[in-house]
Amino acid sequence: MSGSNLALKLVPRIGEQNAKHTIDVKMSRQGTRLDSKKVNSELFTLTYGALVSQLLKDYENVDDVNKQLERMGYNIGIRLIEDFLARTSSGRCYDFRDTADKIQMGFRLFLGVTPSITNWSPAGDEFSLQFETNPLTEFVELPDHCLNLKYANVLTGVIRGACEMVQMDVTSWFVQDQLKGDNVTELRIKFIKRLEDAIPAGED
Amino acid sequence: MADEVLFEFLHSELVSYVLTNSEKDKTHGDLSTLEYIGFSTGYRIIERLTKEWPRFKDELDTMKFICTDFWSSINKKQIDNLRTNHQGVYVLQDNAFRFLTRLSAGRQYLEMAPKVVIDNC
Repeated sequence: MSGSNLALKLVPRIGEQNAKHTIDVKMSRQGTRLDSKKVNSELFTLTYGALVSQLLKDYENVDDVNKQLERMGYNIGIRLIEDFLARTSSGRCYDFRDTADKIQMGFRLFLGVTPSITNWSPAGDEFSLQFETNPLTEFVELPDHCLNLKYANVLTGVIRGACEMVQMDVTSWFVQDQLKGDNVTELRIKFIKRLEDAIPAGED
Repeated sequence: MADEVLFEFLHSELVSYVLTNSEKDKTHGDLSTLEYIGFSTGYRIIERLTKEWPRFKDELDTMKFICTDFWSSINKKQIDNLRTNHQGVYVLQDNAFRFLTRLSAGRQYLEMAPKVVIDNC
């Protein structure tokens, strides 16, 4: 691996020097013989996988990896909500059930999966999203030593970040995970409170 | 179907993570981690995409595959210009690189393409 890496670094440098001595290559093909949608979704899945494995290398503790994934998800979520609102032009939620529908819609829009909404708590402040399939974990098997890893923990962060941007404090966690042998992947989401006049962090 | 916005956000998170880490380790601007992530992604995806394909005739054929089929499925456009000196040096030129049109910090996939070539050889 290190050998090929070295070669890779050299290629662009030589390329720069010799750029003026190169000649054009005719590329006849237009369009693509590949399924662009599939390529992009695999690219996303595999990039995420490479990220998780890099994090596992960088941190000694699996819990820290989970935390870092959540943090990254949060950062994605606070930006993603804008895109969601722009695409769906959806207004305010009347209640938490409404929110649940919107979150479900978000998953369909961005990940192409439709989780089912189940297991409402009697108070109506907690529900589960059940995934038959999870595009993030398509090519994944957890090795024995990282059974504590919440592979798709980025999702909990995304939900927290996105909801925070619309003045809702929610928390979520995985109850079941297909990677750990469960039949479905279940993500539990709990409403904590409404954020009134939220002041951005670090400005108070 | 992962929406492309999502990928762009993931990518920028990735870049910012790698940069924060390299600052912590006092190795400013060390992008080898980013390169490695790109490498392992490229390695795997090409393996999956080309498993049903006939073998590439030669290096140039591989390069053409990268520039046309692979590039256009990821970047929504074919690469603008491919040049070579026929001694194993290739220059790929894209005038509107997808990750740079939005922000000017995505260096990973410039590095990914050359890696992909090596995977195939």
